[in-house]
Amino acid sequence: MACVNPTDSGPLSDSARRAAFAEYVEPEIPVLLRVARTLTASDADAEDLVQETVIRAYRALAGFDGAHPRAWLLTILRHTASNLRRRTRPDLVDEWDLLSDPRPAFGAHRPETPHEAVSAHMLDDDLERAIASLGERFRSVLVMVDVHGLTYAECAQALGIPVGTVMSRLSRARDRMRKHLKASGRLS
Amino acid sequence: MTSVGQMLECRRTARQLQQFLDRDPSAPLSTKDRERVQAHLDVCERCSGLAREYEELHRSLRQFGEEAGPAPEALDRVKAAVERAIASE
Repeated sequence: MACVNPTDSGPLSDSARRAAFAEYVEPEIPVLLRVARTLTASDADAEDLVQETVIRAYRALAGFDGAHPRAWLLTILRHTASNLRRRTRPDLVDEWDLLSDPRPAFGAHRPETPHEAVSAHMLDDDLERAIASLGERFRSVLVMVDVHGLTYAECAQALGIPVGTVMSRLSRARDRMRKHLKASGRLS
Repeated sequence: MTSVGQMLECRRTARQLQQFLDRDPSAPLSTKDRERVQAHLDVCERCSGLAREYEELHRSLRQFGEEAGPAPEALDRVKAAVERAIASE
């Protein structure tokens, strides 16, 4: 895989930076929007978060080695979300889980329903109830991996937790979903 | 008829079933473990039924995910805002 900046020293030229941006960053914007939507539970906040994330990534391209751009961007996304939260809530401690309890102005919208936490589309009623039965920690992992298709490692990057924690939360979330849907007759 | 050995094998399979189904590159099962889980699923009605339920759940959630991508307008807004920011630097 080609390095963005083989010398790893000195600034990138504008053309090289734009080429790297187009190759590594732009294709990941839809995924970043999905993850940001899960984290912020608001379309507007998600767009703000992704804009800030992508701009930071553009500025940081000279130091990026070209490997695993999605993981790199998800880490920037997580740090950016944390910074945005501190900017509006200076009393907030640096604990990622508190992002699930957003307050104004960034993160003003709470995930009132799983429907909102995932998208504005209509969600199957049974699925919605099953997802609603999950706690936030389990819901975010389930949505990132099973709805949005992130790998365990990508989900871990986005949430700042170990892969093993992703796996255990995912396992419990799926088991609860399965039992809930089975009880409602959705699963045969 | 369920022997103690079969029960233990069911429990062992249950612990690895989601890794087996996911095939996630972050946490792959060894070839030996994959073969063992597959062999057990081939003969155990209860565990193969559980696997089918997880697969059905996964399909439902993934199908929803495919329908729930970001709106094209959202993508356009983000790209336009980033372009403006980059151009001003």
